[in-house]
Amino acid sequence: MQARFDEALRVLTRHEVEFIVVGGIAAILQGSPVTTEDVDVVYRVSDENCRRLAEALDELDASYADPGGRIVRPDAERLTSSRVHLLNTTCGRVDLMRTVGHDLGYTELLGRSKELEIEELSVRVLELEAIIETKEQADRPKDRYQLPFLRQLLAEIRRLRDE
Amino acid sequence: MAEAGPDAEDALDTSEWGLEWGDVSLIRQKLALTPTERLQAAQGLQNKVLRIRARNAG
Repeated sequence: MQARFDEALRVLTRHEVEFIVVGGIAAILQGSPVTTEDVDVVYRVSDENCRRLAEALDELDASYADPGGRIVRPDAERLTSSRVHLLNTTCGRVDLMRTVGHDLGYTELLGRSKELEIEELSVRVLELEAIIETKEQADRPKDRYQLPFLRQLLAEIRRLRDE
Repeated sequence: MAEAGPDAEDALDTSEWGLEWGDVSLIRQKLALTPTERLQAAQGLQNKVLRIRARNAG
């Protein structure tokens, strides 16, 4: 399996899924030097969007990362009802979430996101300040170790802006 | 030009390290790239890791 983060985003966009890239890839796109193994995405929970998302995941041959090795596919019903989906796909690991941080969903995060151009794609990503906040709220070891780099990145961006 | 010795190395600008040891020089390298280039770099690195893991798997 190869990591093809750009292709995963391309497939979601082609299927007109409403989503926001959060976590490591969102930070990398804005200059973070901390690497990641997956694409983290928050999606709008509506019947129509979950249907489009299920179609995109079908194209990505997605299945749940099941330690028991069972092949369980995501579908629109599961995407509507479950909060977190850790998926293996043809483009690598894709983690889908209904919310991040303190229960912040697509609607709450929309105003704190921005569009970034990746080749021919326009992808909505969570702003760096909000990434830092959601990682502070999540407060898991993997979030805590990234925070010094993200705060430093934010300070550097602000310094360059003020120059 | 005289070769820089250990003393010069010790005197590297410590401002390159942030207050919490975030590596500023690495961050500046990343900021000089476009979002596409940043994503490609991360992807390339991850694929190298995956290849090494596969080569060393049981």
